[in-house]
Amino acid sequence: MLLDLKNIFKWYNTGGSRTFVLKDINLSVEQGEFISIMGPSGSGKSTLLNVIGMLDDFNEGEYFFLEEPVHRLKDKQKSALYKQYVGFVFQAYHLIDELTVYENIETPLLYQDVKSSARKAMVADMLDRFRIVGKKDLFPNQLSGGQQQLVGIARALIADPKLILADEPTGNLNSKQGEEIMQLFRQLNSEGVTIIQVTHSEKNAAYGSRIINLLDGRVEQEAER
Amino acid sequence: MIKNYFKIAWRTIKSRRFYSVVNILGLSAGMVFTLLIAAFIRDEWAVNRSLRNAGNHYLVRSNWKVKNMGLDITTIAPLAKAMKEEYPGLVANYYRYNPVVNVVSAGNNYYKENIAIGDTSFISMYGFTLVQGNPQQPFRDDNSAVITESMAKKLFGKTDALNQRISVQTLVNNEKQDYLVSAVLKDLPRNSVTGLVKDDYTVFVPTTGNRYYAGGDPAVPWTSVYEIAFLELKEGVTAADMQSPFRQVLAKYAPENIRNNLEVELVPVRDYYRNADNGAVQKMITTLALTGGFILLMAVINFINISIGVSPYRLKEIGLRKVLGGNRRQLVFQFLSESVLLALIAGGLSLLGYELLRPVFNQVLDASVSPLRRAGSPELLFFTAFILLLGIVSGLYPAFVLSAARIAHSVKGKMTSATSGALLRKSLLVVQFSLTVIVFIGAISVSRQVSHVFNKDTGYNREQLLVVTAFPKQWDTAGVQRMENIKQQLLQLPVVKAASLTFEIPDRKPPAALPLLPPGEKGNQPLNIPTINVDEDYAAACEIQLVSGSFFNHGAGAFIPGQVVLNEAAVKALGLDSRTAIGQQLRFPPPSGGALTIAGIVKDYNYSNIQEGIEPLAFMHVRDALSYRYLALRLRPGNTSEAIAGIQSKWKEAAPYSPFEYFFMDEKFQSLYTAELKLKKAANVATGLNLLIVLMGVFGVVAFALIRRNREIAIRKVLGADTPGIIRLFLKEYGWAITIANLVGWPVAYFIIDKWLQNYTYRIQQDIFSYLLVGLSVFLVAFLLIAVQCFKAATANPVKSLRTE
Repeated sequence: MLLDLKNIFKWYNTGGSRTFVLKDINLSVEQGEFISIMGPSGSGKSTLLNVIGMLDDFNEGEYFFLEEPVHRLKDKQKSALYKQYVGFVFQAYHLIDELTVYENIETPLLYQDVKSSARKAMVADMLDRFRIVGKKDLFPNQLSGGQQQLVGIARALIADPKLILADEPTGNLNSKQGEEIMQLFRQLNSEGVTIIQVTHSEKNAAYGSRIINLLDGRVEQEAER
Repeated sequence: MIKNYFKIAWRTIKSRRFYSVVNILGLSAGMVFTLLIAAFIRDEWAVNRSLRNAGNHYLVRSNWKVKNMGLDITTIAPLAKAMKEEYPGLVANYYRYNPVVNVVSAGNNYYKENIAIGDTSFISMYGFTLVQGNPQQPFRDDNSAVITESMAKKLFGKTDALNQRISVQTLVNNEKQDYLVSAVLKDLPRNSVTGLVKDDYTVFVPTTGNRYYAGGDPAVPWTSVYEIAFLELKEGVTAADMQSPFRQVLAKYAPENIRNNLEVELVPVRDYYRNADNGAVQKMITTLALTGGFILLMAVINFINISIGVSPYRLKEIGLRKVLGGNRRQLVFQFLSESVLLALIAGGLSLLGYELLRPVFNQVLDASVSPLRRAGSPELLFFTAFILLLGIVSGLYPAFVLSAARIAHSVKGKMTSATSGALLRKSLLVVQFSLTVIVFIGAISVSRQVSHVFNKDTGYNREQLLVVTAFPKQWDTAGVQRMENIKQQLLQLPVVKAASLTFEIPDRKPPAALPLLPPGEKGNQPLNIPTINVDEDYAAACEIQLVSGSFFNHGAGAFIPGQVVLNEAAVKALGLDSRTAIGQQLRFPPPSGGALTIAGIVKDYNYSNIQEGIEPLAFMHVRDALSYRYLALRLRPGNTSEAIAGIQSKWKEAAPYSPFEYFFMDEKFQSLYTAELKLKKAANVATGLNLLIVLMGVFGVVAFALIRRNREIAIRKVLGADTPGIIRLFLKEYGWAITIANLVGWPVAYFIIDKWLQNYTYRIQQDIFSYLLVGLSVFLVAFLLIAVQCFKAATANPVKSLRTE
């Protein structure tokens, strides 16, 4: 078991009443799964993803990540946990504008104190794997959206995470670029990486082995494929 | 439209309250300082300008070919008068005075006063104002005196002192000379005529018919060289035109030995104040003007940095304005009106600050900067123009940068040209840091130099040395005998350990010199050695060390006439050996003849400002020289105020008609270094202000960087960066700016300080520690500020920052 969410609630206090963002979420994810989370805007998809990624807190419930009780961990421990096991991919890529492709990919390794020689080898390997060696010295604004997202994924994978969390990874891309990214995800999944993605698109969702439909913060439907 | 601009500007200022406050405070801090300095400089420039025909007045300065033959600010007594009589076509008027200090009394009021025994021409010649008396004829006759308004109040309790009797104690036979007050002067403005020797003169009496000195009118003999003299030249006559007339008059009247060794020179009175003492005042003015300029520059840079720093908040507004049809010119105008409004508020605050800080400033610089209500319309106009200009200058750059932002980006609140402006902003920051480093190092060096001087062993003990002005000054055998008696009475007090009757204390180079021929010297070329008249207890009272012989007959009984004591430098200059010199004779050159026997030799000590070094010095006994000014009392440690009270009551008993005037030698010692002490205080204030302003600048730049890099910080956090990591990222960036600033600042500071230290013969060596200390402190303070500022951004939840995309 990679992670296990039990009776997760998250709410905001607005005035006198509570607005629930997540309501009684129960979710278990095994290693090697490819999960798509779907739902209309405001249904809590991104929040759920952030909770899974430990970037956001929840108000009630239990969350075990690799048997660690996340709900009892301090911020520092949580951050150590996701630093080691989770890679993030964003809709807006979120590359650092001032850094080159190479440096963007290298950054997570810097924060994990990987030695210089090892870093070089790992980044070279990643550039090679994504066939972007030629672009390593370019800055994000010199790349197309698809290429930027490729770099984003490369960066997410560089530290060899067990889990990739992707928030609408193809949302800003055209259909051809989107398809390429999804093919890449499928390939990564077949190599053993667990992927959880948030998506609007039925077509992209279909890449997953399991689809979770959210509505108003509640799991409405769960379907195995 | 303008009204609309100001309305919006006001709302913006209000809504970004915190930044506005920082910005306004920074700017007004710079302005207050600039205002104070400007007012100070204006006052310093005004000195002597109010004199009538200010440009035509000259001081007659003497350049002596032989060292120590006379003073440079005094000249042959009748010279100025002779010039007017011989060259009425060139010289419009003259004024001479002999400056003395003695007791002035009226009824039972006795005061120690500065008295100018001089010509009666000065009131009309310089256009001084009378509050009482006839301006056409302020002195009715030779028995008339003119006093100042405050002197009149002091003596009579009112300014109307006409025909009141005042008495001036003379040096002769314990006599007094009586005068009737014929006019009362409005208190004199600072000027270099009556203020030439930096004292305030309160009593003016005619030199003709004067009985102060035993010889009568001091302005008559051609052999007297201690008269201060001024000339007013006719319109169009220059100082150079007077060269040959002076030579001819000297050739005609002056005694040969004086004529051969003297060259006189006319020095303009108008600029005398600023140029005196090697231009000390001018140097101070320049230093302050530069400092003020620096600080204002830093404040303006800050204003720019902070304005740009907070601007991303406004990009959306700018974009929308453009979308709605606003053109660039209008936007520039809007930003300018905002900065002008800020400058106006800062200007108003700075006036308040000016009034609040004026007393502090006056105290630090020993100045008297006038209060605001004295400011006239030219000043106010100038100030308003200055503020408007400042507002426009500081608003220009932000206005153009921000209005240039591209619509599509700015609507999203994203800065497009963030990197291009960053270089400029960082350069400005480097400039600010460099200035701070320079001023800081300067302040430390000044401090070190001052304590260096104060810690030097001067060769005498200035602690617990009480100096009482020895009144009455009766410069004859009887007078000296009476003072010696008073001294004996004071010595009966247990608190007085030793006492000495003396003409000098170690606060100046003695103005009078003895021409002495070494033993065996056949020639008639004497050495002029500055001479102090003291009694045999002087070395004991001042704790000056004796090298050989005895200090006159100290501890050895009766007075022996015709003795002299030398310092080591004098022994060397006379070509003697301190082991064999005792008992040898020093002769006066002919025609006077005569000789002095060397009784003792003292170790060299600093008898004046340390920077003047130690030159040959001789001591004559007061009973031989028959002149004195002070009683120097060595006190036993203990309760000082009790000691003074005891001495005062004893004094009242022993010298009932003499005021008790005293000071402590260590205070006098400090007053020799007022310029340095002032500079020290000013440098400390400037450092504090600089540091404050540069930190505000850092604050602005970092605030901007944090906003611009909000997203980057969030991404880095998601990628695993921890809080210290994020803070380190920023520190590294500004660390470079500070490093460069130090690299630039150090050599500049070294150069400036080195040049400043060249003014002093006795000076510190510059060392690397001050530089390291400054570098390190600036790093620490800046880093602390940046860390605190970054902490919030670094600990914020990254999800929030990323969601705003």
